[in-house]
Amino acid sequence: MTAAIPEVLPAGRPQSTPQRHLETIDLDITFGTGLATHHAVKEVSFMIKRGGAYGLIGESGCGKSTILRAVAGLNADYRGAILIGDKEVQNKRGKEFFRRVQMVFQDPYASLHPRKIVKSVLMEPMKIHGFDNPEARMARVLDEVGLGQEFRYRYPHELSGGQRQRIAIARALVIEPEILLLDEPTSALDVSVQAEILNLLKTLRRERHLTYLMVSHDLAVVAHLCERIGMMQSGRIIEEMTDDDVRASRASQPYTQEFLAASIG
Amino acid sequence: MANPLLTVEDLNITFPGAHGVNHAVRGVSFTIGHEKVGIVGESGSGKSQTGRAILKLNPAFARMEVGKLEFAGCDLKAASERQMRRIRGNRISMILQDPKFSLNPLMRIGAQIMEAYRLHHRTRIAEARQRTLAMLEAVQIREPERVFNLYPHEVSGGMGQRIMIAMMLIPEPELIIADEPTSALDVTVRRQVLGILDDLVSRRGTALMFISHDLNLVADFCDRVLVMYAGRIVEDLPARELHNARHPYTRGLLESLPRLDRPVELLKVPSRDPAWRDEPSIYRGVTP
Repeated sequence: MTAAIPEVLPAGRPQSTPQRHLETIDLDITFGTGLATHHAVKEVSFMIKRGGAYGLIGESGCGKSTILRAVAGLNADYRGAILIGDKEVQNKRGKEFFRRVQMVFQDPYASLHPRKIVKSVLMEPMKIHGFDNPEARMARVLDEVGLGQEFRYRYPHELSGGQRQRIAIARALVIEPEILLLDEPTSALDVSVQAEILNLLKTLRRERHLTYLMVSHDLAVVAHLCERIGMMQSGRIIEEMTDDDVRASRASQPYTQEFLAASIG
Repeated sequence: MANPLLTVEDLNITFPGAHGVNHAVRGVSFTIGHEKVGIVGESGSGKSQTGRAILKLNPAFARMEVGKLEFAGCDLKAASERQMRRIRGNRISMILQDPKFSLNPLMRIGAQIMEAYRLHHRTRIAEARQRTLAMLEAVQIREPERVFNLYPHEVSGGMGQRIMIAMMLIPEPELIIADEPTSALDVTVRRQVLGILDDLVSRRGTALMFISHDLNLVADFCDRVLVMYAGRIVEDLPARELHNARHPYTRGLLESLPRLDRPVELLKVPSRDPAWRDEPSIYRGVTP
């Protein structure tokens, strides 16, 4: 007998494909106990191929952000399995996981430390993960997100909302992750800035072959960035569509049809 | 328009700051009749400050200068604070963005709405209660008796916003200023809330000033649209003509939105020209 962690895959599941990059199997999350129990996520399974982009949409309170937080390792209290590549990750994540999976949060006004300059924001993850050549890497990543080198010495309050979100993306990218988790990355921004950030995310994905898992309530934004979209309602993914299905309003569930109609206006 | 309800001429709002003066609203002039007027613009364009200036609710350190501010024959520019209090809520009311922050958390919903009514109308409590219940029903709250006794934290966001609409409509104002009334709501709830607002506003012939950053929403909902950029109105046009807008800024904003019916690889980012701040606004597709 060895002490190695077995790769547990529930029986009856199809065998893995080489392209699979991120998968959840029967993800189940509850908050509270007794009468106050809230079953936030119910047996959610989805799979994203390497280089794919998957979007979760739904009303507030449907559990979409809860899924993202569980995948990101911010909530270790879940049942079911989360797989990166072909390996199931432990509920309590290790350092290696965070090098491969990074997250960009909704509000760039809240997600950057107000007392840290851009340079220390970008240096910290590289120090934690022991990267060489940090100065050169920082210069490159600032370039990639379309900010000049002079931004190194700025504090967050000296940046606009769009620039802050670019720094948040740079912080996630600087340790060269494979998977980016996006929690409503543009909903706190103006439309013109939203266009800039969406263009940036699209270009980065192509150049770096990133895999995206995105959460949003804006259907047009999700369809712009993702080619597969999961519609959520009270903790379940009730329907999966392609972006073409969404554009053509092809949906089988009545709730999805209603949501599509309301979004198109 | 022969007899506008609200006339604003040459409105300027400045904020003195450590790094010089921030000129938030620069010489804005417009009129509102019995219609639904949308004001769109990005954050910092001065749209909310313009809305607040009508009720003189700008922060105390802001400096406001206005050529003419007239509401239904009443000169608001010269009005004292005491006179303004009789206008606010009674003749002009304001719906704010987020019901979570705008309802009193320590007062029951029914009491808050009744207070809004009784501040301006001398009536008995029993009558105010009847009116409140009728108003809650008008904003499509199913069990008005139950909701009457709830606290704001016990209702959802969409219901909270409907309660705020009820509260703002019950004194029967002539003009409602709605500052991003639906941006804190989900898409599905947004439609319902807008539907209720539209229904009540058109039935009573109330004028509506609708401040929003969402161009498509405004195009659907309003009769007329004013586009603001850097404290100026750059374009004034009928809402159904929005997609034929002439100003490069309005066009840029429209093109920067991802659209379901027109997939593109990369979105257009609007360009900005500081000269737009000083040019006259385009009125109904005509440059004066």
